[in-house]
Amino acid sequence: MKSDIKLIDGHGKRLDGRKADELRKIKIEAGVLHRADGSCYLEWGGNKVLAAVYGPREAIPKHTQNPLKAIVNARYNMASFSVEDRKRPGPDRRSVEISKVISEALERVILIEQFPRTMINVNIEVLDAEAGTRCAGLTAAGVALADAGIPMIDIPVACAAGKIDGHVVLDLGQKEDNFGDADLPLGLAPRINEVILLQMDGHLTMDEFNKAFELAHHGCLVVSEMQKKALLEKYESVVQPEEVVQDVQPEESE
Amino acid sequence: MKKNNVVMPGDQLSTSEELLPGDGTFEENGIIRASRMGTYHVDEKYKRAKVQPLTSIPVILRKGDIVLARIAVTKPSMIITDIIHVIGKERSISGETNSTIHASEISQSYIKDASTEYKVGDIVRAQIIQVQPSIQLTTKGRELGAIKALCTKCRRPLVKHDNALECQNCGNKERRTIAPDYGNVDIKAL
Repeated sequence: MKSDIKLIDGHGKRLDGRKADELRKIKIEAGVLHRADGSCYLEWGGNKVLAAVYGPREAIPKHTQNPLKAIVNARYNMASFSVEDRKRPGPDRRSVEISKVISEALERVILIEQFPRTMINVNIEVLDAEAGTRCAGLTAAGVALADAGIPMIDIPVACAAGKIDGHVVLDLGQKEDNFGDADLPLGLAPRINEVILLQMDGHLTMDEFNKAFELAHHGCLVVSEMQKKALLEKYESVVQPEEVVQDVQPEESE
Repeated sequence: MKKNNVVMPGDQLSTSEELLPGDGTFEENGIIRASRMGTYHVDEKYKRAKVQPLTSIPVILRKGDIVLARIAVTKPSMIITDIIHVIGKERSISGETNSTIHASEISQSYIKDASTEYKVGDIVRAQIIQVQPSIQLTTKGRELGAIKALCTKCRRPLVKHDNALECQNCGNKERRTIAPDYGNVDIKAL
């Protein structure tokens, strides 16, 4: 889609004043839902996402059970009021695809062999959308899973990069996504440094792809730190009494 | 031990040469890592690395757990039940909930036909005596037995009347192996 909008000015500043390698504002809060086993609320620029984790619990329908491992059911859903024009509620082609890729990304990091015949439900609700919701969703799901105490090898994180007006930039905004040239969402398991989700919309040359990948990779690492900070913040108060217990413990064993 | 030893999933704790992987950890290429968020402890006696969780964790059934189970099928030799809750835990059970109570595990006295002691739909408090290969329960203990039973004729709850159970709707009298606090348990509060 070509338009007359200038997405990047002469000084390398973007529409919202960000530099090429700058992320939008991110706010992460863990454990916000009382009835869920684990949950997370995340704001990423104009995106507002809620993720809730239930399980592991007996998989239904029963024929979907796997006797060797748990199945991960992520459900990405956009609220009808999340976008400019009212979205018809319910799963559509796009959200079914996003649910699938997020499920598969999470399966890589969760120790699914520990819970045979069960399913883990991850519900990702997009309350407000402004480009990059699948990245926001996967990031929120990662925090919610950690909050649920589900054994994982890593906390998954995601971030996008893209191309606007011929420049490779990090974390596209709404207009940049609509009128830009390409979008590259990247899901990462930061510790093992493994790509768990990678999609591309639009065209990038090999060089541009490598540059965008590098940017998104760097973005993921930044967001990963924010995830850990959010989790620590939630449980900091719990740690204090634990430390007192620890001080006593070594004496007891002597 | 370090003061601030909160670990995140994936953080390195130790190596397999040094310690064994315990609760909340996993082994990967000879390195022991945390699989959940919590505080890191070493069990010196068994040389085991452990992560004491800060978050709630999935409920896994273990031998010795006291559970609430709903009777699904009754047979002369055994009762088939569905575990619905683990006492002291808030989260739902992860994994298999199908379990059985063998006729010999219902009470201390000899029971010829298990289906006379529990009926379909009853809720019992029981203890897990085996998890693998199948979950086995017992109601032999002092505090164990039915805590809620339904009349087989009209499906209303039975009421305890000096050691006998009676239906207040149809006057039907029934027998069960009951817990001492039968009828006084607030199931929703558990």
